[in-house]
Amino acid sequence: MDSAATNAWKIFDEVKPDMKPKEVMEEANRCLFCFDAPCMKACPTHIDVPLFIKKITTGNMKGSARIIMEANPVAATCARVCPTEELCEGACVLNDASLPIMIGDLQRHTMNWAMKNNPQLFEAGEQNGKRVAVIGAGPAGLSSARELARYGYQVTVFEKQAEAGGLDTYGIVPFRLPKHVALWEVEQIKKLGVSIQTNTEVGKDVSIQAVLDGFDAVILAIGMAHVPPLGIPGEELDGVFDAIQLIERVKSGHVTDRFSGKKAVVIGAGNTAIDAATCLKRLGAARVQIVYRRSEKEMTAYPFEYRFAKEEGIEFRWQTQPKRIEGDENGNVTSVVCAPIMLGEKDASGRRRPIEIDNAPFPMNTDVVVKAIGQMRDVPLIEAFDLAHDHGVVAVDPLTYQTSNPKVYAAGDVIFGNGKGEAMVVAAAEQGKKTAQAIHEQLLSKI
Amino acid sequence: MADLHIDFAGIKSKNPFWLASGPPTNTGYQVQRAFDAGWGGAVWKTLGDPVINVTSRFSGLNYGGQRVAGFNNIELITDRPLEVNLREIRETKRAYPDHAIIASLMVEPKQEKWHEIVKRVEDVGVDGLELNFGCPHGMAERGMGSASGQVPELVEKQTYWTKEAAETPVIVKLTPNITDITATAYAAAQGGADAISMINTINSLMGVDLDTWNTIPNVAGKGTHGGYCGPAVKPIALSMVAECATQPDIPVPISGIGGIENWQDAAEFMLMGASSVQVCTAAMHHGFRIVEDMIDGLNNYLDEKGLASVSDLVGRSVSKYKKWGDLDLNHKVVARINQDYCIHCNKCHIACEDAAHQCIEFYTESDGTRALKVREQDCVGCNLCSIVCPAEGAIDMIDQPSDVSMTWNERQRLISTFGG
Amino acid sequence: MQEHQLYLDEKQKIDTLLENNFCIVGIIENLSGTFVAFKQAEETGNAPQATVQLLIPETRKYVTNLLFTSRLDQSVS
Repeated sequence: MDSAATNAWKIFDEVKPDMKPKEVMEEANRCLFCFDAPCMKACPTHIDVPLFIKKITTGNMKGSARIIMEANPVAATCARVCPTEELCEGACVLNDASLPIMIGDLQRHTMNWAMKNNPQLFEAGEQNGKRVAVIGAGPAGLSSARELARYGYQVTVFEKQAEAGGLDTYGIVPFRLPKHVALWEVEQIKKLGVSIQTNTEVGKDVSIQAVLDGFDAVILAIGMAHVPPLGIPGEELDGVFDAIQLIERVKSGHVTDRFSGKKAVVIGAGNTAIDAATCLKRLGAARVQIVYRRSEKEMTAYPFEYRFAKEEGIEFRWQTQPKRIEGDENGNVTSVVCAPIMLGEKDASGRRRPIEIDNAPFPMNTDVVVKAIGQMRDVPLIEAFDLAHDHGVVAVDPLTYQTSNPKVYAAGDVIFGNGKGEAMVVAAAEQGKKTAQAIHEQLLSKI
Repeated sequence: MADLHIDFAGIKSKNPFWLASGPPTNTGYQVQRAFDAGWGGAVWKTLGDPVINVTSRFSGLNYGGQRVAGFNNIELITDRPLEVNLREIRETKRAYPDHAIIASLMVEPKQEKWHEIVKRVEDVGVDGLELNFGCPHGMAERGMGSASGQVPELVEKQTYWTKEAAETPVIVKLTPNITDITATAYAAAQGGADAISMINTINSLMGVDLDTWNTIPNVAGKGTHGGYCGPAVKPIALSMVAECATQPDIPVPISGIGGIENWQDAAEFMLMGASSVQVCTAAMHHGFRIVEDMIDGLNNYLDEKGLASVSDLVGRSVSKYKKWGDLDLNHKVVARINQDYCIHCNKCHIACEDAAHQCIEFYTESDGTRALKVREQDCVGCNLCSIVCPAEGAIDMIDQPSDVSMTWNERQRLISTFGG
Repeated sequence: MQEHQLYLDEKQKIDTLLENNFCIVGIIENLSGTFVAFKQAEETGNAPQATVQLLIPETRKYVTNLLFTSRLDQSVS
């Protein structure tokens, strides 16, 4: 039998095939070219969808790519990971009349062309002498850097990882988003003269004071951190993993045999849980179960992710609360003991409150437990900047993205939370753009 | 089941669907396949002195991802010897005695040339003759085809020469590459034609290749104008049929040709006065089997309309075709948007705003959704919004009552009595 | 553009004249529109006259419709 490692090139290929050329033309020609199109409004970055599609039909691929990337600097990524059925495609006027245009796939087609042909789409603006530091080279940071460079700012991006791209490079499974896609987007931004300093952690490799003093404005786009502890016994056993770290390792090309033939339990039912579960399956796990304390209705994974997981053979155990992880004498995981849950009244989040059914715990035999119950915040860094925050969610002015320190702006997942906004790549990209605009407006008077 | 038989100027056919002269009727093999598929008749690829063709020959006009909205060719008449064609015509006619075979002919505008070919072709048993005064390319440079078809005197004279020798009905096929087709149609009738057919192909250059800057199609990097046909030419052909059908001094049957793809197109031509129809491009695009739905669809349509025979359809719309000056100025329609069917693409709004009379406006419904409404008093009833609307039923053009009809001609007569 | 309002304005001029006992005595059309000559119906020689220039197609139609229908009425009666 082939090992997972030798098959890596295949198992981690993009799941969804590119559209075939004829498919592209048929689909692009089906677009009605709506006026004041709802798809454009539904896109958080407001890509002029009818126009980029029209350009596909006329063979103007460079123009098509420019329209897309003008609005969204990480559009190749978004074409792959956006919940399009809830955004552009969900708004398509053809939903009721026939079938919505496959906008995401068409965007991917154009972006594939751009990645292959590498046209010069944008140029840096004339230098205005101002310097901006961006902390974090994820979608929000990259998007703001690209816009600022076009305005003429000298932009330095600090990234603690070895490669830029943030979540796009490290946090989304390769069979949905190959790493080279995110890195191509990074390259486009570098081409505008943006300096991206990787392996550079602000607060450690470069001091916060140096950043605050050395730049005219600072954008905090540090995203989120690792999965928090479950807070149950047995979490330290060998075989317990953090979903984010697991995906990060796979994304970095670290393919291991250790899950081959194993049973795995993933705790949580968000998009990261599904990414981790499908990843384990591809790494050879014999059985992967997702346990979630609420029901199918409350899960936060997108419908298309959920569909994909089921297609991949992932099992779902709803209304199941892990109580403790048990191991053998060698410290290896053997089971998760769970309690069944019933759902009560709606809580503050609008979801029904899980209530544990007493005295009914049951064991689920497993070799692997993966935690995917959300992400922590880098509170120490936020506090080192002395920024107002709520449990690690940085407070910003909704219009200017300014934090409690007027020189420091924040965008992306670091300001997502507490029911505000959506943790999507596309939302981060838009926030990056808007932050750049806000900085430009603030500093314009000083240029 | 309605009766689809026709008697077109004495040529009998079990249905009105004939293959037009062209590549699909090049050989006996093809025509026999067509008859097997159900075609009622075929006009054989034009006979004349054999020619030499070039490659390539055809090109298609694609529109919005659809192939062959239009079609053009620079192929000439048959490139096979007359004897070979005549042998195959004889064989085919023997094997398919109930099908109509019409020989298309093109020779130099000389009396003896016409006499000779008519005699030889009729000897093998054709049901009729069609004089090709239409092809705009190649042969026209040699004084034939549309070169003679554009000159009414030549049309009349050659028709007359043909009629001197012919024993079977003579159809004159007219070129659309002329300002007023009724001039040549009249000349054909004067020359004694038993019928006319229209249209032949339209002068065209299909395109220029944006990479090589060659013409489309090209022959070793060079190109020439060709004959244009296919669905895109249907409205042109239909208007020419209508022009001839409404002329009392062109009292001959018309065979309609030009962009006919299905029974609906055919029915339109027949309503406008054609009593047979000819098809070429659609057969080239899809094969002979398309005739099955033409026959079936026309049959069902006639049943639905309560017509016993296809001939009952012929000409029923002719009286509705008028000069502009005889149209009622007081007739008024206005657009109305049906919110139940509107999909909110806003194409009607922008079309009206940019290209018509700026009378389709946004408003906000009580539930906060945005919708469009026609400001009817400013609507001129141009139809543009309903044309661009992709949602069936979303825009209706509503008749507005008017008391009295007044045409432009009536109005001008009235004004003239007031010194205008 | 709200051409309907312009039509109503022009129509008003015609209607007012007709209400004041003017009748149409001449119509001339040229590149500048339709010029309608009115004359007040009076026994005496020097009747007041007026000319209205019509720009809007709907009014140009309206004025001829008035004459057209009245002529139809006459022919009926």
